Amino acid sequence: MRGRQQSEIDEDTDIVVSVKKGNIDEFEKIVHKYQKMAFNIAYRIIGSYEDVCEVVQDAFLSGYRNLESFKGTAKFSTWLCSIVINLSKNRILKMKAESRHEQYSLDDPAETNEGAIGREVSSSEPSVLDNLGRKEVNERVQECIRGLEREFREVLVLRDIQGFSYDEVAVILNIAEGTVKSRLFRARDRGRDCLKKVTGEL
Amino acid sequence: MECSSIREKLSAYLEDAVSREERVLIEEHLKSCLACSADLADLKKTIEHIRGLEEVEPPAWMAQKIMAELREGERPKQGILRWLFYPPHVKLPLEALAAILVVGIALYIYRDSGPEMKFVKAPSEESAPHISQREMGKEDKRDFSTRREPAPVPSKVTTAPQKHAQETISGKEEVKTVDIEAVQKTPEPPSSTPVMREKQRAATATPSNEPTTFEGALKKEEIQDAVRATEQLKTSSDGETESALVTVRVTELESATKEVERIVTALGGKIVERQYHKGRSMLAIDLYTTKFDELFEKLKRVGAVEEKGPTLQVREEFMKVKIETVEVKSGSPDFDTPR
Repeated sequence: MRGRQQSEIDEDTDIVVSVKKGNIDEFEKIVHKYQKMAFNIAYRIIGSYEDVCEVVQDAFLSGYRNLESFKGTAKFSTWLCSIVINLSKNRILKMKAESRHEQYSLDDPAETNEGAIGREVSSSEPSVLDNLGRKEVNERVQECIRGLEREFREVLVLRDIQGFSYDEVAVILNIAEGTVKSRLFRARDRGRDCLKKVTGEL
Repeated sequence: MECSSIREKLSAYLEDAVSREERVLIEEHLKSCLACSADLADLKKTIEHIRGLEEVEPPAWMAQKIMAELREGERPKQGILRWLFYPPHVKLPLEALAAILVVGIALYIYRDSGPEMKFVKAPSEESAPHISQREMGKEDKRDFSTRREPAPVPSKVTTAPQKHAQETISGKEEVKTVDIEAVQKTPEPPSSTPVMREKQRAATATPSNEPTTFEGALKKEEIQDAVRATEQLKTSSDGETESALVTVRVTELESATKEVERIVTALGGKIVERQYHKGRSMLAIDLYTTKFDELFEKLKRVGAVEEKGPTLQVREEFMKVKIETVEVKSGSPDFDTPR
């Protein structure tokens, strides 16, 4: 969880005001401060490193160009996040359209050398995540997140990975807080099922 | 409470996002329900795993690249705006003035070039008779061969302006010319060019019952030499109702004809046809209607000018004018033919 303190919010506002006045170099502070967050959100949602690089760059450029529309009523981080989420969504739709030509879908189970990994296939060998190396665990969890539908992936990433509060997630995704809760429940539920199937048990 | 409704709330329960009553209900249920308790444990682990995901580091170049693109994208834009409008109290009036000037020049050019473009277009329509003149030379000889002195002037004078005019004709029209020449070589042209039509009309309009074929005309011409010469001129002027006829009486035909041609060319007129006879010459020209008065004035310098024939009919910007140059000598029969 990354805490967002009141002082940080004030700092963001100061920077944004300065950038709006034409001080373009101040924006670099924003980039340095939020690039990792933006990158991780996009990475967990999109999955492909190269695409994520492009999306994050576009998000910051878009944020800079539309800075006038940021009125300071919401936190800058949530405002920037909604841009990242929207651009990631567009990228996924674009990738889907492209992959349709190749008869693949992003929602299809991921293929690995060992075979298909998905909810349908469960390992016959009981193995515990704890026995696996950290990298492997990460990979399996990422695979399960990737296997979720995009709406569920978004709430899971924002709430459980980025630690945004329910109301912040609601603002970022522009949905009701109740919707956030129910989506989060389903996302975790499916994530748990997936992890169980992938690893045998938790 | 049912297990399913409890499980739906476990996610929120883990994060204290349930009401106090719900919390009590859930905790009571969990005490008695092993399945739901196991479910909760799994959920906790799942969230732990998700939260335990390692963060991915963005590439080191990213921040630099973002800033570079920002600066690249913004600077020229600002620069151009600044260059265009700064300082506004100086640049804006200047730019307004420039805009008005541009519009003014555009209008001027448009008005100036308008008729000229049509001028280029007009010859292309009339090019057939114009070029066929050379071809017509043969027929001219047949027509006027009986006149013992075919005027020596034509070849000399005609070539220069004609060549010039031909240069303006595009390749496409040159192809057309070839066709027309081919057509004209056949003895009976269907109704190809205005000149041919004119000639046919002239032939049929003669009072004698001449056949329209040239062979027949050839024979008769020898007999009706003098009569035809005048008739030819008369009919061509009478027949062409749409052209004005101007007669210039001069003392020296050859130089006067040249001078008339020079005036016509200077006024932008186009010589469509030339006829030379003993003691007179006839020029059929296309002229801007607006230039007619000027032509009239200039011809006065060459000799005594008389406007004859029907009143001129304005056909768009162009009109046809026939200029008859007559050498005035005592005893000349032409002197007495005012028409």
